[in-house]
Amino acid sequence: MKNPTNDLQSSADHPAHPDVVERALDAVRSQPAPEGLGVDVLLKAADWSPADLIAGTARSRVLSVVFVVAPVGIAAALLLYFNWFSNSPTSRFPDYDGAGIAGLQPSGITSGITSSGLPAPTPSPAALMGVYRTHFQSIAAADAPVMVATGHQESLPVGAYLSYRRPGSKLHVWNWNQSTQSQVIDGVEFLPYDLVALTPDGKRLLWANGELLDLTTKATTQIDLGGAFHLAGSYHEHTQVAKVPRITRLEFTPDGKHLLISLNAIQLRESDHPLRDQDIFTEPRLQIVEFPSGKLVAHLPVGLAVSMSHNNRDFYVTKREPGSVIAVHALQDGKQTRVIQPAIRGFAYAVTDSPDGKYLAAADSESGLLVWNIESGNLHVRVPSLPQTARRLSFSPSGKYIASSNSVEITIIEVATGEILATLRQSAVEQVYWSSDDAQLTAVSGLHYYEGGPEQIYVHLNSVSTWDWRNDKRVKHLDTSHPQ
Amino acid sequence: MVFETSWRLLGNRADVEECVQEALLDAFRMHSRQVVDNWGGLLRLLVTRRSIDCLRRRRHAKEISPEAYARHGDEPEQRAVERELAARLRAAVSRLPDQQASVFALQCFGEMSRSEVAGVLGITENAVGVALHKARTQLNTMLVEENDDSVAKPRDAESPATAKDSN
Repeated sequence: MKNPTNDLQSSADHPAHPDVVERALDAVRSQPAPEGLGVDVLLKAADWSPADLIAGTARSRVLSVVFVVAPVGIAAALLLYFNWFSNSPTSRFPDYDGAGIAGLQPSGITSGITSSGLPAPTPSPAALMGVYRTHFQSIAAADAPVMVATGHQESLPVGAYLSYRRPGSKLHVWNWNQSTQSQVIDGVEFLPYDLVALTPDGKRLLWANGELLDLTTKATTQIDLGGAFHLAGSYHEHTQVAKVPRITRLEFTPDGKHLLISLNAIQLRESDHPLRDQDIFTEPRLQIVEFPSGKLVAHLPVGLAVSMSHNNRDFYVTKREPGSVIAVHALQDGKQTRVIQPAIRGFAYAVTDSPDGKYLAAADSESGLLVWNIESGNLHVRVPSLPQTARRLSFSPSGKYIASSNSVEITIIEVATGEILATLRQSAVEQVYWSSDDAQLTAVSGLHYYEGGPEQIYVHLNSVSTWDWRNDKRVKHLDTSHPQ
Repeated sequence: MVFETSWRLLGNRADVEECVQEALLDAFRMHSRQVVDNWGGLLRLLVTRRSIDCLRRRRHAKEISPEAYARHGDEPEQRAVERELAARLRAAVSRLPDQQASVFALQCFGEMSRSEVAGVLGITENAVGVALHKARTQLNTMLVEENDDSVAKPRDAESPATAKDSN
């Protein structure tokens, strides 16, 4: 029998199937689904109107069909769900009941983590709290201005479509609380793939190349952050130098005294290939840098998720293995101070603590959202029913709610009960900001990449929306989608 | 079509049953919180998400589906190639970013139109096209590179041999 792999390789260029993806799709479609599960009958519920479901007529039909047609196992499972899921979300998982967090006993808590020992949280500034990438940079908070860089010359209204074809040389700032027209700051060069971060006080904008712009005085200074790119190639005037992004993420600590820099470190290693001397490997790493001095504090391997603690003294790193722990590192020197073993079953894509230091939350790819009481070390609540694993978590300023965002939506969860209170349909969310009164939430979405071609097209599908989440209502919106 | 979408993604009866059940319950719970305009699209979206999550949970162990082997008594070599290619495609889809995986699965497995996909995901049709193009490009690269023994794989950044800790 021929080796299927060789057969695949040799037939990849078959003139009838030049596209291996299309061949693979044909292979999938050639495997018809098994018959007789009875589930197909349940799928007819897709055709029933909401009114039927509300009235309960459709529900009774579903249940009768389940008992009559479907295998007993499916019916039993559905019954269990309907009867059981109305209770506490932790009740079905006895291994989580009372599960503590190893190393997080009351006596062993690092100072600053206890709820009584925390410094007062910095009030949400009437300023800007973060930036997302692309040459349309947007900084938003529910109480604060929105800033977008673009090549447009004139002031723009909120909601305007913005051309993405040219690099920006003007910075537009929208202060939503004062005006719907943007304020234009001249002479600020914003190139495609520029990466910037805003200081927490909203007064200065820092580029990955080290340029620091004072938004009030418009003066610029320079900090040496090691450069935004690796350069590859000869410096001979006729040789094009290739640039590989070095810094991939730039984030200030809440007090603005340090920077967390994620970067791609380049390593050259001896190659095993007979025709190559060396191979290039990129290795993600993390640097902690003092601001504004630019002094390196620590340099360490990066994990799956990195998150600043609200106490300004620690940051959390989760590892890239399933069933991983959460490591707590000190900002002042990067050293690991504690390991938290919260019985995460899968990958922990996001982790954060509440502003008052009371709760620690993590998104588990296997088990939904987990929230622990940091002081007692006990699991406080588990929310297993999120449709997709969260990529970002954000506690509200009061600590009463948590926003869990993934690629398709934002879910608002009440921390005390684990109840899902709202689902906001906004996709590709990169950043989430709460208003100081918990009433509104601003989410920044970004889908962006370089398509290239003769016109050098940079595709940016970015938007910023402020939600009155309790009423599922968008109250402000700025959309930079490509016009239809 | 919901079941068919999940079957095409997973190729395993037990996983499909679980994902479809979960999706139906998700839909029921969502209905209690919001008005749903397109139940068919919503169900396909929910089952697609569940199925992609299920694909990601699978480890490296290869699954052998008795139904697939039992049906194909003739041309075993060709069928073996097709089954392996299908399995590779599924594994590759699980490695795509969420948006691309959802768009690809809804359009190519779920046979939804671009406008339908845009509607259920809450994004523009252009974004759907962009995501699909990116997904196909990445899938093509992954499927071809798996057969290329000369591609050097980067070492894990966390391996003891490479990690440097200033602590």
